[in-house]
Order: sequence, then structure tokens, then C-alpha cells
Amino acid sequence: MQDILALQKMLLEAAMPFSIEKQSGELLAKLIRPYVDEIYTDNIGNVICHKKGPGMKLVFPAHRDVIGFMARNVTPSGAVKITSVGGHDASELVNTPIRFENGARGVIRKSCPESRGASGFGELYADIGAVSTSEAEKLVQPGDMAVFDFPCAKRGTRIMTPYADNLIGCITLLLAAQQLKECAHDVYFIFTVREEEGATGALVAAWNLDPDICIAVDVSDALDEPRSEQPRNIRLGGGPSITARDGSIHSPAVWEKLLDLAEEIGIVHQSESMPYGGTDASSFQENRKGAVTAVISIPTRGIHSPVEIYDTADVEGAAALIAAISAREFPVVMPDRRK
Amino acid sequence: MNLKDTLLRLTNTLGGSGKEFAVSYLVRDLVRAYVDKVEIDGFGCVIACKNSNDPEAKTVLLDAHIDQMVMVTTGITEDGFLRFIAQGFDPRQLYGADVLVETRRNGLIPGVVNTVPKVFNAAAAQSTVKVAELTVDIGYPRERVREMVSIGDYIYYANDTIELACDTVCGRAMDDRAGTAILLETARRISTMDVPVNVVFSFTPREETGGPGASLTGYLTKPDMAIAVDGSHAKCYAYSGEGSFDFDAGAIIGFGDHSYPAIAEALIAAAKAKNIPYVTNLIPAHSKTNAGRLEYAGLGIPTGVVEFPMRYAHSSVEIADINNLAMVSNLLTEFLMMGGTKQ
Repeated sequence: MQDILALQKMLLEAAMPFSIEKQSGELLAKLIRPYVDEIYTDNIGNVICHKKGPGMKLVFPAHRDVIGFMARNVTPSGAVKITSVGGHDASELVNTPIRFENGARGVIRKSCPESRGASGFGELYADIGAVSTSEAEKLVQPGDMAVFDFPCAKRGTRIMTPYADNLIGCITLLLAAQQLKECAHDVYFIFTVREEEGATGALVAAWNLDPDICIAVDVSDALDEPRSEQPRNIRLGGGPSITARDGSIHSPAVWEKLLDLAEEIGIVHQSESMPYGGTDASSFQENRKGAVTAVISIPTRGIHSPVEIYDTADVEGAAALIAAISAREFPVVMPDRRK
Repeated sequence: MNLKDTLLRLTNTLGGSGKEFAVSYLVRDLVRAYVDKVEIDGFGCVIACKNSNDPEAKTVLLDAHIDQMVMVTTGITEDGFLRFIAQGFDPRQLYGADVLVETRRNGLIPGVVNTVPKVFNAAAAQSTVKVAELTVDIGYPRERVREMVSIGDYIYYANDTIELACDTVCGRAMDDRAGTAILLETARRISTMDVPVNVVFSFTPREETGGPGASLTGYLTKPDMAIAVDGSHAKCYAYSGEGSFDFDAGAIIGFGDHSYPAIAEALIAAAKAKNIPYVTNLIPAHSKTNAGRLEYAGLGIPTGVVEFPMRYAHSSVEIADINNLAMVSNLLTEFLMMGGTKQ
């Protein structure tokens, strides 16, 4: 099995927000190629990796786009005004290092430093250390994307990194594909684009593939940090979390089968339901005939912050579960067969 | 089975959004005798078709949703109480309510939602309670709760439907089992008639969560027009203002969003032809019915909205009037016999 930290570092260098996911797509295609039968990229940029088998059409989407920033314009003083790409909390971003797609580095500052935090992106700009406006304009053009510029570190089984969301989902699929010998289903691992922009990449894949079952792989909030009140019990190292519902409801029939399967083959796991959040699965369940869906999540602390933390044991558990689902008869109860 | 008995059976069957299969089977069994074909898909959508003898006939889809609002277990406290989410529920009614937990392995487990003795909480007792302050107590000692209940298990109000005076019934999930009963009654009525259109009855899951049910049935059956049948608000003691209708208003025909004028007008023509009481509901935006989903299903479907008046929506004591439901069924039957819209 490949080292998760090494994969995370490789992907971190390639990961970019929506519309420029090409590099990460090529990297993932290269990494998964030995383990699947065919790979192609669809019109919107999803990398679709097909491992042929009999049985139902089963897709595992994991999005490879990340949240980030977009340059709007360079001010006369050489500051680069930026805007948010995906769900950021502007009040937490001051003094965060970022990296533009062409490699230019910068840091997010606030235009009125006397107060703490920022009320919105209007107050934020990127200082790229340019000595003049003309130099700044050479380094960054309006429309250029930027990402968090933080390193990736490991301590024990824990990895701290930006963009666990959802590079870790992609890594989980890679690890699952490596373990998979024979498929009991017609399996597609999909590295999707544009999830952070409303799962529109997955919409295109859903329309083209029209699968029977979709199990999205993504991150979900670990709630084991010290807080006065915990609404849920999800923790790092407690195993992959199997989601009954998030912002949309998934299929209880699949959720129950996944819990049964995890218990049967001895994968430590957690069950989860929450009132918010969404994944690529929602796009798959609404399109054409609709796929019955489930979500397998890697518990992660600090989602959408520059330093997310996850546990590699949860990733390995998720990969083993996905490989087991793909390799085994997995009779999702289609009700009419239960007369 | 008559309309009231059908409705009692439907409302006393649990089917929270996403887990409607028990209702799906029941509906399938109830509708089977009246139609040419009935199927259930992987989501629990029941699609029942009655074909016209006319090979050129258009297809009309009638939709009612079969799911009901539900609470979901999200966590277990150290003391063994169940945390839950209750989207759309009024926490004032949850406080101290009898509930049922539908578990993965252990069947239905009764429980109650906690209260706080007023002696400890005199100030808070006067204010509004929040769901975050509530848990479900199922009586088991803390170490056994985790083996009995999984996070993700559904929680329902425990009360069965009761019959009140004058053919009214009261219980959970009138929204939209009453619409489901209207469709079943309509299917029964047209089963012996020569209907000039093909009719698809779509009993749809997941409406309460804005879920995809109706998008899928609309895509799969490709009807020429579709009508969503759902509950609307009847006037009651505490509220009789805008957006509420007389309890005996008859059919409530939607105009505006998700209502194509030709369909709304054909519904009114049908009501007038048979002297069926009706009122119009002006919906400037978002009918909050499955019509909003059906409208852009597949290549797009012209839609209409027909509602029945119901008191105390989204509570455990929703009240519907059987005679009024029968009038809505009359209207739909006449609409079908007139061939829907001519366009």
C-alpha cells in the first residue's frame, strides 16, 4: 500500500480550485492506471476510471477540486484584491499564506488592521511582496486562482494538511483500487471536478453514467475537539463514518448494508447523521433514473481551514470497505425483489 | 376499502423521508387492483399506470408524496440519551412527546422526549424550548443504548390516528397520506371507466426533504402533464389570515408558480362541470409541492397544483376532512375524464 503522507504531499502540489483541476486529474489518472481497465476524462473534466465487472453499475465519486481564492484586480499600491472560491470564513483568513497558480506566493492581509478578523472579502487583499504595481501585475492577473500555502505534516497516524477535503477522498479511492482484484460490480472510481461550486461536475457524470448505486467519498466534521456541548459523536480514529443523512437524505437500504458489511468484515466504523452538508452523491440521486446513494466519510477536524487533520487509520478502513463493497455481492434491496 | 379506512391504514404506517418502503408496499397492494401495471423503484417510488384504450392518448401524471416528516438520531449522550435533529418540527410540541425509535435491528422502541421539571427551570419554562435542549429517553441503561440504537435511526411521534366527529380524522402524516388516499380513491373510481388519457399515479418518497423523488418519476414516465396533490393550511382558531382556507373549501386549485394556466383553467372547468366546490390559491413563488420538481423533470413537464385543506400542518395532530378529500378526488376524476388539457 502506498504511503498516505506521500500521496497527500503529491496531490497537495497539484490541487487547484474549480476550472483548473487538470494537473490533479492527470496525476490521479497516472496513479490509478495500473489498477483499472480504462480511464477517460469527460467534457467537464471528471476523470472516470472504470473497472469492469458484472452486476450493478456502482460509482464512487470523490472530488478533486479544492476551495481557494481568485484575484480580482491589483490596486495602485500593489495589493491584490481577492475573492472567495468555495466556502471560506473571511474572519479566519487574516495572515494566511497563499500560493497562486503560477507559483507566486503571498499572504492574506486586512485593509483595516485596527480591528480583529474581517467581516468579508471586501476587507481582504493578498500581499505578494511586489515592490511596484507593475511588478504585481506581472505576477498575478485578474482571474488567477490561489490556494492555501501550508505544508503537510504527520504525527503518529494523524496527518495535518490543507485540503484533506477532499484529496483524502481521492487517496481513499486510489488505495481501494489497489486492493481490488475481481469486481462483482461494474465499478467506476470518479475524480470529480467542481464539487465546491455545487457538485456540478458530478451532475455531468451522473447524466452520462446513470448508475444504480453511488457511494460518495468525502470528509465530514470530527467533533472530538474540546467544546462544551457535542451534538454528535464522530471522532478521529473511530473509523470511516457511514452517513445516513446530511443536507440530503441517502438511502437507508444502502446505509444499513454498509453498516452490516463493515461489522461482518471487522472494519471499525462510525454511523453519522447531520442536518447540513452535501456531497457529490446528491447530484447522482437527482439525475435521470436516480442512483440510490450513500456517503463514506473520513472524519476530519477543521474542514475548510488551512490546517485540517485526519487519521490515516480511518482512510485505510474506508479503502478496505470500498474494496469489499466492489468485490462482493452486495444485494442492495430493491424493494420489488422482496415481495 | 373506503377512503377513511384507507387513510387510517396509510397514516398508521410509518414512512419517514428516505425510509418509506412500508408505505410503498402498502400503496402498491392497495392500488394494484385498479391499474394495469405497478412498480416500485429503488427509492420506494410507486408508479402505477392505467392505460387508455386510445393509442393516441396523452399521459397525465398525478403525484402525491408518501413520506412524512421525521426526526433522526444524531448522537448518544454519555448518559444514554438520544440526540436528534427535527427539521420542520415545532420543539414546543416535542417537549415531553411520546415517540417511537425505528431501529436497524431491534424494531420499534418507545421513548419520550425529555422535559425539565419546572421547579428547576421556572424562567426557562416560560420561554421557547430549542431542539438542542431535547433528547429522547428510551429507558435503557446507558451501556445498552448503543446496542439498541444506531446513529441515523428515525424517530416518530407515537400517536396513532384517531377519528373525530363528522368524518374528520386527526394524526401524523395527513400531509400527504391524505393526498395518497385521494389518488387511491381516484384510481378506484376510474378503474371501471373508459378514460381518454393514460394515467400515471406517482406515489413519491422524499418530498419533505426537498428530495429527488418526483424528479425521478417525472423523468421515468415522461407524462404530458402532471398535477401535484398535497395539503394546504385550513383556518383554525389561532390563525385565519393569508394563506389559509376554509376547512370545507373543497379543492384548492393553485395559480401562479408551478401552475400552468391551461391546466389550472382545465381544473376549474372540471370543478364547474360537476359543481365541485373549489377555491383558488395564488402562489407567486414556490408552491412547496412536488410540482416544483416535476416541472423540470426530464425534458420539462407542464404542471398543476391541487391541494386539500388541513389543520395544524407538520404537527402530530394534523386534521383532515374525509368528505373534502372525496371532493378533491371528484375533481381529479373529472379532470381525467375531460382529457386533461387539450393543448
